[in-house]
Amino acid sequence: MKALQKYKRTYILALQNAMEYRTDFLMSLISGGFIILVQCFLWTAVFRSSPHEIINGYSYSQMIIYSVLSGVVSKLVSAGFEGEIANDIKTGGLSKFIAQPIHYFSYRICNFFGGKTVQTGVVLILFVILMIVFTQIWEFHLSVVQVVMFLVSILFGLLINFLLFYSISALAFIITEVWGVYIAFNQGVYLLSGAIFPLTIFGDTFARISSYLPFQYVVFFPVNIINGSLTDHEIVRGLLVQAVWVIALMMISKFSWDSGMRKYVAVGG
Amino acid sequence: MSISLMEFRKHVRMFFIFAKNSLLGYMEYKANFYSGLIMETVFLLSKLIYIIFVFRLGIEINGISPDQMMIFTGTYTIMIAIYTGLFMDNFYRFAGHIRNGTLDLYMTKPLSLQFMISFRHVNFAFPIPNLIAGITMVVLAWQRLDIDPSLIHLAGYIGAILSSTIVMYSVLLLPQILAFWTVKSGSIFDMLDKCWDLNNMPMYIYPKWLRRIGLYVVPILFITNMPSVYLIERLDLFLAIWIFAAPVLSLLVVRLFWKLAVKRYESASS
Repeated sequence: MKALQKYKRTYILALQNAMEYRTDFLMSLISGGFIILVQCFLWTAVFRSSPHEIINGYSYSQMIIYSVLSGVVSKLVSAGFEGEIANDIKTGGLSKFIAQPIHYFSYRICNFFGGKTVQTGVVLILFVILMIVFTQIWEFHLSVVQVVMFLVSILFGLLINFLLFYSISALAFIITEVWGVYIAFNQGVYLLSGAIFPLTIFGDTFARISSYLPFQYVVFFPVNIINGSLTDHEIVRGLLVQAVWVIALMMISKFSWDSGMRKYVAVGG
Repeated sequence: MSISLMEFRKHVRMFFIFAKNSLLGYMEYKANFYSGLIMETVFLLSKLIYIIFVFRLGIEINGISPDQMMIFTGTYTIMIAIYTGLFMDNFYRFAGHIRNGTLDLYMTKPLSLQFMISFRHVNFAFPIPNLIAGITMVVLAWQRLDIDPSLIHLAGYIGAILSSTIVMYSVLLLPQILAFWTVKSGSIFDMLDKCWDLNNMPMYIYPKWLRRIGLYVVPILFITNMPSVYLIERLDLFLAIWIFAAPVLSLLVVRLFWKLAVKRYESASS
């Protein structure tokens, strides 16, 4: 029990830190609003110019809800710790974790979720406001089950994104100047997760391939639960796939870190 | 007159020395070059998604055909190449110069201070993928739209890009100058940085009020739209005058603001 104390402390510290910078997160949400704005204007223009009422399986209201929510969700699940890990590896900060009775993975995940707890709070408030607005404008129904499923899928999405970035951060064991790769990976995940466009617009083959990859379960899947474009069966199936990916990525991250640690030489620090 | 011409020549010569200096830096630290190249290529892909989307859809959006859309995206990509190559590194460093006191050192140099701040670093990694993709898109769309490839058209397009470059320099430097007062590069710059995303799509998808603000008040939409508007022949008389007036006006404003800021600068550091 005592062993868990230090992780609880890590979690609380990260939570307090995020509390301190809550306005910062809110500001980043607002500045992220421009891309949502572009998206909304684009879809409005597209639906106005198109003879069809349904485009790529989405109605106008579903598409706007998708654009707004995907912008918010992608900000919520974003990782952003890979630079810190690379720095730990490069400058030898990792050495103290080897010498001390604290596990690096557990430390990182507690730290991550500590920060995300406050951000989730901010997003939930925003979510309630958005949902009230949407239900006022369009005939848009939201069931309790949908909301619960959405929250569960967000939790899985957070886990998947954490594990993806934790696995890739082990690259810093091999490459010293790794920042470019990280930013590229970050942008790649952003695209493939469906944060800009719903993934169905790239055709059936692309959608099928991406349904086997972990990325779309970070943003595309949770947002589709809310805007009602998935059946109950598809939701349950999606949640199962998320769970499978969490387990698979745990194994991948363990493998990548084990092989990285074998290369690590603790000099200085 | 001859003195100012000599000064001008000196600054041009210095610019090439700065560029050479930056290039040497890349040759020394090759990993930085490749990292930048990979990163920018992925960012480019995320911009290209918009044009892929438009072609898959295959319809005119607010009267703009997919091929015309490609002219806009191509020009946007070329403008990103110019921004990242010439200005980005310098603008991001600007607030740091004030905070760390390196600005004082620059003041002692026998060159224009604004010039030193604006052109000290040239980025060679970021513009490469953007230039290749941008020029390819414009050439491709030019052919598909059967625009007469005459010298006048080409000169007009390059002229419009020049005009846009000057406006871009002014609009993005202006919020940086605020650092003279705030010492930190503030949230206004971040906001403007994000506003840039509005250029992902041609201005014709936006409502009229937003287009007007983006062209005349904060000319962020001016930067990537004007050269394309010229090519697809949507330039009316008013815009044609504005294409000449905007760079002069914005450069004048930024120069005056710069002089005002330097006058009240009292070395923040040490």
